[in-house]
Amino acid sequence: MTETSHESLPPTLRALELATSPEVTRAYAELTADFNPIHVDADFAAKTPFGSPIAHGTMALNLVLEAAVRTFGRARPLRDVSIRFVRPVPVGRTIRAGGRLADPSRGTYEVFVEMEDGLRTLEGTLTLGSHGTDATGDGMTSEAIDRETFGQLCDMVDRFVAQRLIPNEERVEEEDRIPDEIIAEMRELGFFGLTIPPEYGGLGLTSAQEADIVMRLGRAALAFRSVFGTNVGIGAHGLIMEGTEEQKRHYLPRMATGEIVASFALTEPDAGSDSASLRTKAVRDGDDYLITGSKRYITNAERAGLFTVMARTDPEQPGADGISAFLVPAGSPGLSIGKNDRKMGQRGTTTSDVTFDAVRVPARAIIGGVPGRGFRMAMKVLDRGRIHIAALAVGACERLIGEMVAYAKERKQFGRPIAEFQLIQAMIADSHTEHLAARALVEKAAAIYDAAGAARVEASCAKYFATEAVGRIADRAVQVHGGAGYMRDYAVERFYRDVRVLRIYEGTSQIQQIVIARQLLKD
Amino acid sequence: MSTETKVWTFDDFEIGAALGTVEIVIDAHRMDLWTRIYGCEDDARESVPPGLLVAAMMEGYVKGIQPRPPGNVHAGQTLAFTAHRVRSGARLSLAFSCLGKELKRERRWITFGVRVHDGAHLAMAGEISSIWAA
Repeated sequence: MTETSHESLPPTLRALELATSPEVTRAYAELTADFNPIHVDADFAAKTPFGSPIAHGTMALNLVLEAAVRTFGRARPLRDVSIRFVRPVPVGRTIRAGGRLADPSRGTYEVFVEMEDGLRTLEGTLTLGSHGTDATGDGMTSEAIDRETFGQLCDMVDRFVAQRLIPNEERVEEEDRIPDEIIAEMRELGFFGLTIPPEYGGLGLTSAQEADIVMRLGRAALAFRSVFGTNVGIGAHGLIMEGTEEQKRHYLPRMATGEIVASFALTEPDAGSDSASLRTKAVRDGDDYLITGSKRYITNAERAGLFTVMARTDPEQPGADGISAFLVPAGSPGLSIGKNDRKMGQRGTTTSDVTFDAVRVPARAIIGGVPGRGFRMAMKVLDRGRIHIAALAVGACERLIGEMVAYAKERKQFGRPIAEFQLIQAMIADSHTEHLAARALVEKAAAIYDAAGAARVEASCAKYFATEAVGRIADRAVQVHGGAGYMRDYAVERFYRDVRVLRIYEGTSQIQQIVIARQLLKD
Repeated sequence: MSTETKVWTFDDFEIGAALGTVEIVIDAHRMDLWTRIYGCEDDARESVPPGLLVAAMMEGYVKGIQPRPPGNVHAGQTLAFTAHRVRSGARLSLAFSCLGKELKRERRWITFGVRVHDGAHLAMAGEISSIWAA
């Protein structure tokens, strides 16, 4: 287990002092080009109510920011600051910045700057960003696109879902593949780089923004999202979180455009949720490793250009410490892709076995360059990935309820719409209630992830509840449709099959229960 | 920005009006000044500290809205940093606007908006709350 967000933030900021001497004040005036005589001219200031020069207000503000930077380093960047200046600081006084943790769930500190006598010159709040995905290379997830631009992105996604995806659902079901022109449009719209940092060509969405977009996409057949889901999620995040700069520069820009599809190869025939017992091994051979083993149910393996492969590099370490994450290009000698799996639902998505037969990769292919960190990285990747899947379930809930309500109004029995029957209404009401509860959990988990860089329990709660809820709602949607709901002509029949896997991948519901309970018992 | 020499007064500001753009380069001299004032624990610091963006914001504010009456008070500040990392040498573009103005207890409150871009990337946005002197 890793720490929860509540445990991971220090209770106070590291205190930082600054002597506002005339020399320092003049340097600050030069830095800001603010030579207002009230700051730098003693004769002028003597004639004002202050009686002597006063320091620039932002000199104190910057002391708080610097105290936060020195408390958290690069791991937890600053996101939002809101302060008011309480009283001026006479030049020559020493000021001290400090802060205490006020809201661990949001990563918010109450901050202040005071003089030697305790009189405050500044008060306010400072909220940290995340170290989840990383526009900076340091693990930062603050909003890389502003709210106005994000609103435009949401509108564009809504139009794409309504005008392109939903009308093509039946075709995907029939052909069991996503049309090439749809994939091309997804590339043009930037879907493959939604969460890849802007420095590498993506949009760098926060977890909350990612969840918002995925909820919208979840209204259409889930197979569409799966095309770029691994680039947005588990196939890319290990590299984003822990990759070296060289690795990021090499792969991420092409992943952001969709030129490379990334796949996450963790599950094995004998290692599913029990990832720590995986058998794929990587044996050192000079400057290289030879990877041997089999991976199962690997999403997008067929079209992948790059695999993140979990393999055991230290046979003496039976648990997590012996596992490393390798970047393995598709087409590497010894790497073979099995035939596509025949699945219950989500036609149009592809999963396959991937076999590694002494696949040679250089030691620098280990993500981050350091062996033994793969399993922990995988857990961090899954943390955010679970919020993503939960958001997808919420989107599907919305679609199913829409289908349910529309059919209930249209279908007549006993001379009136079935929507007028209270037992039908009960199913609609229960579904909507669960939908809103799931949405709230997802939004909460994503907000915590963005604020604190981890949301182990909250992500599991959201994934567990939302995916179980969508299963119940899909069942009710079929029930409201009656016999029609069992027919392939109706979307609810397809969704009923499609959503079933949400309770299985990225950790089964039972694994989520264990994660939640273990953490609570540990606390 | 205004090319007039008339002092900006409270009445001159229109809510929603753009007040212009100022460009500032985060050069080595600026980094040296920052280090002289606040020190630097991280010799390998690849990105500029967030406070240096605030300093740039104040320079833009001072340069951009001129001439101004003496005696203005910087009363409050909000900042929203994005994930974009500004590197030394960056040429920042700072766009200022008037977000609001209000008379409260005979004081002239003006809220200025600032958006700091590094190329196409938004690096920081903020609101400056000022009590305007005239």
